[in-house]
Amino acid sequence: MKTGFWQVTFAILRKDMLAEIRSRELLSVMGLFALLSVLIFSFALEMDREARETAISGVIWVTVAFASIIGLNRSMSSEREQGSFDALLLAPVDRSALFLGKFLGNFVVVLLVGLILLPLGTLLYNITLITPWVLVILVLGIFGISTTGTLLAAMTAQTRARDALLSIAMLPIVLPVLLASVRATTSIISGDPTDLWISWPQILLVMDVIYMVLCFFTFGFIIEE
Amino acid sequence: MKNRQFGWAKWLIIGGMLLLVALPLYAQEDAAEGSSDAEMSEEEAPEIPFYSSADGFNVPVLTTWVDESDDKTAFFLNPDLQARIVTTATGEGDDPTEVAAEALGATITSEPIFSNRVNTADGTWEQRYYDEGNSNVSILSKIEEGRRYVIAFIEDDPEVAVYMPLVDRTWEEDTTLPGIEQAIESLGIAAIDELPEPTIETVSLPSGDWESATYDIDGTTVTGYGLNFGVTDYVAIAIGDADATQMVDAYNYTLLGGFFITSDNTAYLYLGLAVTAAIFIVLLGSIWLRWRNARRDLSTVEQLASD
Amino acid sequence: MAQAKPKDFAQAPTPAPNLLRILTLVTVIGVVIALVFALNIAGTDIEQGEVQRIFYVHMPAFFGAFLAFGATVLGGIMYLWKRDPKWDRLAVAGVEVGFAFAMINLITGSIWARPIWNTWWTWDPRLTSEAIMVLTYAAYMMLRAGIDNMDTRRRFASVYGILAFATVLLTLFIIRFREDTIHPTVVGNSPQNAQGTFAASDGVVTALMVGLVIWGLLVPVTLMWYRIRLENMLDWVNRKKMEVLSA
Repeated sequence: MKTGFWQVTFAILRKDMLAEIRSRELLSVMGLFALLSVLIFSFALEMDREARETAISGVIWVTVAFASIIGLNRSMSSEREQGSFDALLLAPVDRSALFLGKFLGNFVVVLLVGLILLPLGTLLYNITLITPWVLVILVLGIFGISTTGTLLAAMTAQTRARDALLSIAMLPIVLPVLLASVRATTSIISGDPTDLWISWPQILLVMDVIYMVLCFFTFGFIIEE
Repeated sequence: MKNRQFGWAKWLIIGGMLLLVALPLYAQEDAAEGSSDAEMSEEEAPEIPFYSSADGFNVPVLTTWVDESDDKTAFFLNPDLQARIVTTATGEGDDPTEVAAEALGATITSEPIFSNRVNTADGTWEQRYYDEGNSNVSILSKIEEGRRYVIAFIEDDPEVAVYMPLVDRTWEEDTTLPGIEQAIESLGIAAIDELPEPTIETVSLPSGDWESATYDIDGTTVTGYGLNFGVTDYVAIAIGDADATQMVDAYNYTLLGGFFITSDNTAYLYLGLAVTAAIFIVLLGSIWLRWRNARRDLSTVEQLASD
Repeated sequence: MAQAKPKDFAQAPTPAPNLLRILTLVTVIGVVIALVFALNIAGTDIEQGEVQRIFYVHMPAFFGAFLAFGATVLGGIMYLWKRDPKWDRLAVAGVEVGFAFAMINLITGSIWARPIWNTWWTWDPRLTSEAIMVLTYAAYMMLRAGIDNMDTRRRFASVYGILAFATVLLTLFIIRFREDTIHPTVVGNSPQNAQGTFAASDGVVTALMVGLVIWGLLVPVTLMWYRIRLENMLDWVNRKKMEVLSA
């Protein structure tokens, strides 16, 4: 008898979350990377307020993208190493539910990193980043990154080059999402009127839906055998 | 393994592929809609017919004049005004006066009454002015990319003498009067301090709004026209009673309305085509090479199989 | 030889079919015609000079790349659906040919920009997205090379080929997202800050249409056909090797 779709999804999410709460491995590595990245950027780019306003969103999103690559690599290769994926594949469960579970896990972890980054950026760059709309963009952007990221990490975990290949394969594909997120964040923190940037969250939403549908349906092909 | 996931999606896929083909067109159309303002302003600008020489320069066509240009030299004449305007290109070392005389079909034997160099927004021009009795000649020339470009104006009317000098702007005021007076002195008509009070008017011509100053010098009417063009004043001096505005306009329309040189960048075109060819050769070469290697492997394998 | 051909395997290589020969001939003649139109029949642009003729290759090359990458999407979807390797051959042919066309598009654009924009390269949104598009398909080829199992390779490549098309669409639509591009559009009006626009006169349009048919359709299709034959040959050699090894 087939286990229910949402049951599988939440079982996987729960497993990943529990493992993470116990080891705190992913979050500590990604959080440390994010801290270092923001620090390095703030040293490297000594700027006046206006230049910082335009640079901060770039710094935040580049950091989010690279932190998510680190996290995705860890999450997928541990799955491979422990063989838990192969075990799951033997079970009569919906492949798409596997994807959704893995995706939600990655999404939550990267979102946490993003939520750490906002006060950090506010502190180091002296620019208020914690506004409702920035949070909306953060959620939408990380959603887009995590969908393709989960799919491609599952793919590259089965190749020889692994980590290196994930960054090469993933960065160009998430670029549209990053571009829209950076533009929206820059506009919001520099206080532009809403109608100037409202199209960005809309574009992000559309891209998130497209990526989600594509990845949801193609994930089954990635983890066959 | 039979996959049924896409069974229902067959028609969706086919429809999607069809839509895909229309995408590039849609993207372009969109860009067009976004800039309809640009479209408006573009339509309002009148289309200027251009003469393009085989020697690489372009001048606007003087539509009211008789066009006797050949493929290398732009030649416009106006029989009523007894005036000719010629634009041509020649070797860097050639003498502009000789070239202009030959192109105009005139003989210039006298020494120039005035000559100098002027730095305009469009580069350094050398100007020479000749008084051949009935004929008066203005010659401009500049060297660019190893060629000398010559723009010459001649009028044969004995009643009038017209020169078209360029004057460096050395004063701050908006007026072109100092330029006109400087030109009158340079051409040896009268010294600046001896000039009487002029009558000043504004003349609107297709080439711009000109300031005109009319002087009465010892019973002769001298009219100066001036146009402020940034670092340079474009000036025309007419001695005599005839109306010179048409000539002034035609000549300066050639100069200001669009004399420009088409840059010679053929080398870049060839470079682009060479790169295109190289990429195709690399692609075809790699396909052919892999094909040959595969053939070789195949014959080895077949030999092994038959042994 | 009445053995049953397993669906998963390649077909024995055949001599080029007559249709391919004719197509090749037509393509070669077409290239010559396109060059004559671009270099002789279309007039010289008086503002930009001879280098403007690069455009008759530059823009059709993008459409060639678009067609080829579109074929990759089709091949990817059909492979995942039917699991017939012939669709994967179409996909890989699309990527290789499309990559060549994208490179031509990128490099000819750069060569044109040198005399017109006075720089080989600028981080203009459209140029940047095009460069990323090229990198994505380079990643596709690296991904393929990184997987040894044929079946896994085909599946992954199909999925990635579908996803990678997002960057092609980004390059197409970027003028809409970012109005600050200086890249001119020729069909329709350019953004107001575009530099290096030129009037689409009759000669320009004719040469462009000829270029689009030849570079954007005929050449990529012919090249892809040859590339598909090569992939079939490689698969066939692999199959024979397997047979000898297992014998």
